[in-house]
Amino acid sequence: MSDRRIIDPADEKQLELYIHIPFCAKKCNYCDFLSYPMNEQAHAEYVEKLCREIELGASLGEDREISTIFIGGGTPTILDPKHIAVIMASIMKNYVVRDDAEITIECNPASTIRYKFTAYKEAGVNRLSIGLQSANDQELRALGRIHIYEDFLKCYQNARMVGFKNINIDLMNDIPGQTEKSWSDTLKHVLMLKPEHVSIYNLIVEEGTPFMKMYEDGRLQLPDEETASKIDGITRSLTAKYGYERYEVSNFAKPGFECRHNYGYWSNVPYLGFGLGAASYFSGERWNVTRDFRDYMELEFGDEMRSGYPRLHTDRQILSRNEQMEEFMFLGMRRIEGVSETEFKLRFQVDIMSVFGDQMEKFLRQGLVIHEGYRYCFSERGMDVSNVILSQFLLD
Amino acid sequence: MADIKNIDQSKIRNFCIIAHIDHGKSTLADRIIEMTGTLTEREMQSQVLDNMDIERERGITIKSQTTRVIYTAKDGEEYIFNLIDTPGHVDFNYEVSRALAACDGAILIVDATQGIQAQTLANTYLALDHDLEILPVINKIDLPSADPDRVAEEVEDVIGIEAMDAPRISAKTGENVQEVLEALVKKLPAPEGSPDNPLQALIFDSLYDNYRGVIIFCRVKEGTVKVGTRIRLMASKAEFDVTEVGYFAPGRFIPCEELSAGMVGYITASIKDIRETRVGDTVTDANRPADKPLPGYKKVQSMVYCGIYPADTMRYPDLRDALEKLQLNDAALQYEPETSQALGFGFRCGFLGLLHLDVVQERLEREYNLDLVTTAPSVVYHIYKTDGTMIELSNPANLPDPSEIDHMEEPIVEAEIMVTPEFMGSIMTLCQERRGVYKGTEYIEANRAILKYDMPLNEIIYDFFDAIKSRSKGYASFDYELKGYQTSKMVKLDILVNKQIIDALSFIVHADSAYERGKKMCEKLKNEIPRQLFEIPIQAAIGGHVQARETVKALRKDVLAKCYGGDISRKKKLLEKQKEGKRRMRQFGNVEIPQSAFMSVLKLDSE
Repeated sequence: MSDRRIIDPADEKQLELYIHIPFCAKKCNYCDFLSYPMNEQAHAEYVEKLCREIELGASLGEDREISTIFIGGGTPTILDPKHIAVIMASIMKNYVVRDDAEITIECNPASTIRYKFTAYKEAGVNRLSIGLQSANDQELRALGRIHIYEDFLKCYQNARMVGFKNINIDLMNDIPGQTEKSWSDTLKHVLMLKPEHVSIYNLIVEEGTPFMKMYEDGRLQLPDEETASKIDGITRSLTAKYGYERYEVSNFAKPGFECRHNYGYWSNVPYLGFGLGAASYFSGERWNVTRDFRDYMELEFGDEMRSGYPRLHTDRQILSRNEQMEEFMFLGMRRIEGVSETEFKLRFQVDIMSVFGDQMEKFLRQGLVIHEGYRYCFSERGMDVSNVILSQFLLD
Repeated sequence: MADIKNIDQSKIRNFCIIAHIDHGKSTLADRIIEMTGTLTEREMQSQVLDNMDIERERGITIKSQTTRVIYTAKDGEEYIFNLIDTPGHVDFNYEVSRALAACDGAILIVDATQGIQAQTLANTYLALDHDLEILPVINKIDLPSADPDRVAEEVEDVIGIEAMDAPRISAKTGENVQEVLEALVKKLPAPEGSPDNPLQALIFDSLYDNYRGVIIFCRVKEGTVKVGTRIRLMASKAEFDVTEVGYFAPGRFIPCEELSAGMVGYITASIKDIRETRVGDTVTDANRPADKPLPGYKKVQSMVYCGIYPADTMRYPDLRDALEKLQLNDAALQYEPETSQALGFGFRCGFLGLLHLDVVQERLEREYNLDLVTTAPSVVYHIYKTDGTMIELSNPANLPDPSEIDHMEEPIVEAEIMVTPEFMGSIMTLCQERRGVYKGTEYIEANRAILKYDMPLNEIIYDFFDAIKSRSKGYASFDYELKGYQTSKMVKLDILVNKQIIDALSFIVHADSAYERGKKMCEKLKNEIPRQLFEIPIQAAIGGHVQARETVKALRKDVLAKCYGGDISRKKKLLEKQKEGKRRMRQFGNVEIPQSAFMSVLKLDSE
């Protein structure tokens, strides 16, 4: 366990920005996230609204300094790169962005050609997150991805040639047809390219996706738990062998290249989300931008702001003390270093064990959680079954 | 609506509708209510009388419902019809019998496509036992396969009642239902009895109301009861002052001045202790009592027992209250407290059959908002001990040590299964598999027969209904009656989860089928118990000897997916879902067993 700080929890000025681009060339079979296939005109109109939202949001960020920016989707790279430049310019103009800010854009291997990378770099983007998912074309087809592995290789080479020195590759487990062999091939292929960062997520069959329909019809052949567990073993040994450190349940990085933006989510760092459906967390409140595209396009944001965003923001929730404690646990425990009992005590003025003692003692006894120094963190076994544990940190 | 006082006794008709399940009882009741104008068509909700949610959802009638309608006959006179809707399922024969005792006549519905079925006969005989005048009606003539002439003939041949001029109707479309109304006036007798005699009113149902206390549903046979009458309940000897009397409109109570001989209605008397009003008891006037009570109902006999426990042990008192209240609405339900090592404090409850059990469980959960765990059902065994004593055993967990047992007897029923020839073979195989002893076949007509078997009740309480239905494509029907007890080689099968006996899963089974059952039980439980953090053995054992074993492998992997753009609420919802699933499980030592596991093992043969 490293004591190296990826972010400083005591840094009270930091603020993260998330920008959502809800467009895709085609929706993937597993995706229930907001995206629409649209034309250039819709893109331009959307970006205009987005910039207006960013501008108005600046009043919240007045005393803050932007430590990370993440442009996600959807498929941000489907936009003409000039739009990304406009968005970045709007941020730079309205916020104080730190010199060392981590600025990421999510890329689809199919829609990223070289001139786009150059444009992103010029706009200030310094990190790429490429959604490869698998190096096996059959698996990519099963997922409904519009690219093949070859596309990714070109995309990756272009990114390096343009000079990006911090690249993440998103991979997926539990996808239909995945085997131990295909996974170890995928992972080896990817790690040999020496990306700075790899994210490995499990496919979840979400409501309302084509996969859910197939699942209900019994047409979706997902790897069984045995295979999934072996796949995890492969991940563990290969990432270690290639010099990656697991710093969070699903994330692996070369030392010093951990994703600060995502890490902030687990670490109580405030963030503002702009764009359709984007989530925000700021001074103890959470909210989401509306998921209704028409509303987003038609609302007058100035009026909205003056009356407290009654329609633009949804699900606004002031976190109770209990909810804050829950989040501290189920978000914080995802990190390899787990949660700190001193930090808990500082924030909530009570001992962590007086609130979560029952669960914690059971997990310690079962060897799922380790108590080391002043921290509680997952054991290897605990990480494999993290859901079972995290769900027990929800208070009644 | 006419004032009840102006209607003389000769203008009252008290009747019920009897039929085999699905022959259209509730539909005809709806039509009668609609056609007598009690409800406008707009107010008419399909199947008005089935007013429990659960009845409407399952399309069955469980509780007897009563309603009063006024019909202006062709002779220009107004008649009061008291219609008592009765349940159709064999489990609820007791309810049928109570309802019949309040009537003077019965409409017998026979489906024009299916003809006479098992419960058509059973219910007809019950009605004849109560001396009711029977008015046959042939329903569903709108269906293309209807053959009313043949069915009328069958009614005459099999039941022996005049049926050639029976109304041939479609309760669904309303066709010829008018004829039924006229026949009710002309063919059913008016009630007898005198309003001046000492009061005798038969309690045929009751209901607990938080404001009024117990509401007694009764049929006044003799005398008159009104507000202020001091009544005595003849069996419990309790006395009360009547606070309200009235009659039943569809879905509501309408107070009136008095109920006199021949009428059907309700009485309230600020009765708080629900145990004082017993269905079947006679209400009389304390100041002018009748000599003797009316002949009682058949004593209700529980056929099936099981343990019912609150999922949350803290809610034991709530469960007790709920059962107390439910019993008032369901005289056939019996219960007494018991404790289980695995489940804590609960009740051993007696039921008429498995459907009755199911219905009670569902009502407890829905109407009283309880989360329940139910144990494997058991019949009552007679255990003869070596010291010469006999105990009646309804809870397998209480079986004495085998060394103290001389022999055991199990209840046997006479089963009648009505079936068409094509399915006779498969039904006979089923009965043999269930240790049935063939007693004979009775042909009703060329293409329908009644198979008679003596069968151990133990073999039919689990899933026999389902099995019969699936092996006859739904065509066979089934009825049974307790015959007596018979010596059998029974053993207790224990289920061990993680090496620990789960007493709530123990059951008694015939020695010859113990291995098969134990094996199936383990397989079923293996699928019901979700993987946990360690490996869990599931074993079936007789007296410490393991017969079968399965293993639930340890959970290997369970990790959340991506957190899209910091949307924490999605993540939390997933975790909440997971936690909620856990809450519905019962902790046994280290092992969590979902409630569903307890019920699912009852349906071992369903797949």
